[in-house]
Amino acid sequence: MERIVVAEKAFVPSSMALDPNGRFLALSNVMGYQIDVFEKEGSQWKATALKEVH
Amino acid sequence: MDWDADGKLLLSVSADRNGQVWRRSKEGWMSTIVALRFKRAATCARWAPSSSNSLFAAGGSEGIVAIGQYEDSQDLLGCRHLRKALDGTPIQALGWSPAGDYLAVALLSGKIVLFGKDGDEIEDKAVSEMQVESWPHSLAFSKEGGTLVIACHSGQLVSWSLQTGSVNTVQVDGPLKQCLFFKEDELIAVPFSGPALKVNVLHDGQMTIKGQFAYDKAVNARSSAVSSVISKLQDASISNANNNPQSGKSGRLFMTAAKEHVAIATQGSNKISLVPSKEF
Repeated sequence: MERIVVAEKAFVPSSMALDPNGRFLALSNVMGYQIDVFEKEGSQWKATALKEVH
Repeated sequence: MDWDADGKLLLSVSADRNGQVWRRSKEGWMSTIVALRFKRAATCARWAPSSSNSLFAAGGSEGIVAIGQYEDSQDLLGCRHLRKALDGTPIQALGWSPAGDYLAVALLSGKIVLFGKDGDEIEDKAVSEMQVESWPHSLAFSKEGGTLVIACHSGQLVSWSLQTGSVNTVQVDGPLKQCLFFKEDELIAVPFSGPALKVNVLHDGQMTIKGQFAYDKAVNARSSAVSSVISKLQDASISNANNNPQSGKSGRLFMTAAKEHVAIATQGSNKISLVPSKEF
């Protein structure tokens, strides 16, 4: 089992979507105003910022 | 939120009443606004399967479903509305059949509406509908599309055979948040609190709870193989989980599935786990 840690300051995710290829994991907060996308690079997951989110 | 079948487009909707389609470019994530034309919050969104030409659906608090189509040449995506067969209560969940020929809509009133296609367009009239006894939180088509399962706040898991119309239920303790099919005859039911359940679903819709998904046990057994992204914070969390057999069991789980992995989040925690589907 792989595990990803969302940064300490991050919101508690309320919605989550893993892309079919297992490369991107998107998390959003309860209102959908904030979205974080994690991208898998090798064995690591890196946060990629979405700008101008809802 | 939902990824398209190719994993290249992320559809998001929010309480700001709009949607956005995100795509990755060399400059980062670029978005296209989706004009849902909702007066209240958007609550859920789903891409149709890949055969449906980038068609998507979004639901809102005012009980309307917006249908749109992504085109990368457009700066603003328009939508048309489905409302005739709906009762005005908020849209709780949406689901496309695997072939993309049906769209199932779950309403807060407990009404479940099935829309069908006329050519390439979803028609604004119900093909079929049924009623569950409490708020539906999630719905899922079986892999072959013959059965629709609805997870309800009452703890009822309801299966609806689209071939025979028969309805079957099983009752679990506490409200159900989510249901996800992993095989044609097997799904995971995720409660708001407590361990996820493995449920066997037969072709006639009969369901049997096979057991619990041992989320904590799997985490503990594999903690030594945790990848290098894990921080000290997470190490501390795993240590706590090992020391406290109840840890995580009362947390709220939710899941999302891809072809080979399932992502599991525990609400109130900052950890996300990816589990190979074959482990279920």
